[in-house]
Amino acid sequence: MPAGLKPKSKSLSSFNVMPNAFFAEIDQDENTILMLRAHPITLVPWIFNTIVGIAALILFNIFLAQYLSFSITLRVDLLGAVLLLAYAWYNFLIWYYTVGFVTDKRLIDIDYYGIVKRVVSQAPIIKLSDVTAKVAGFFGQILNYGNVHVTTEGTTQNIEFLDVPYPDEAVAIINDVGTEAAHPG
Amino acid sequence: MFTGSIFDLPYFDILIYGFGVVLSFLFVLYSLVIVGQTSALKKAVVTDNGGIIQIVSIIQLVVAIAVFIVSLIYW
Repeated sequence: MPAGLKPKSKSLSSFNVMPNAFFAEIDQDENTILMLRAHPITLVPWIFNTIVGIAALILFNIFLAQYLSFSITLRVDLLGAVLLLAYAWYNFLIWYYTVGFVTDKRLIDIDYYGIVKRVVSQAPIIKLSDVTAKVAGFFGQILNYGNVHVTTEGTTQNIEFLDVPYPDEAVAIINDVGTEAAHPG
Repeated sequence: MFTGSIFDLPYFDILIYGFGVVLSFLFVLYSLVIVGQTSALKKAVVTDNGGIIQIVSIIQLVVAIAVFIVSLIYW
């Protein structure tokens, strides 16, 4: 574990240093150094859509409900509300469980494409050959988030952490962990 | 030619009711899948909030069942 690294972890944070979180296949003697998620700004599109949906439901009740019977209005309200809840919850789950782990042994990238499709990529930390941070776009520059590309030696899977906060700091930590794993002591 | 409001169309109520029942039933199935998946996810990625997420998914399932029952009752 790199010296001078201080634990920094919150419940719904996207950038967690030495968090109290791990993945199913973790070894007994393996420690989680970093856990990364997409920056919260990436949640804005579906939060906006949900708000628009709520507004549409309110407008329906103000302008159209008077022309309909109570049972139809109730039905539309209930279905609209549960569909919005399902949409928001689904997107939150995708965000929450799409994570990247850096441990003192390997890098793991867990991606969810829809709630039933999971892709897990992993690479041993000693096989890192290049770690690059790429910050692009207006919001990326302002809010300091971007992609971390990890290239590995040989045929080992390359790893990508997309839209993560503080990509430079993540690269520094991954490099430190990789150096320490390659030259222990 | 029909010149009235869309709400006066024949079978409009039945159409809406049927649509509501089918949609709410599909929502119950979807919520069941979500509950199962969050249970699996909780084991795949272990975090402090896994339990809370599981509870919220179960609440969603309960709401889905309640909406389905309401849809049937008001048939």
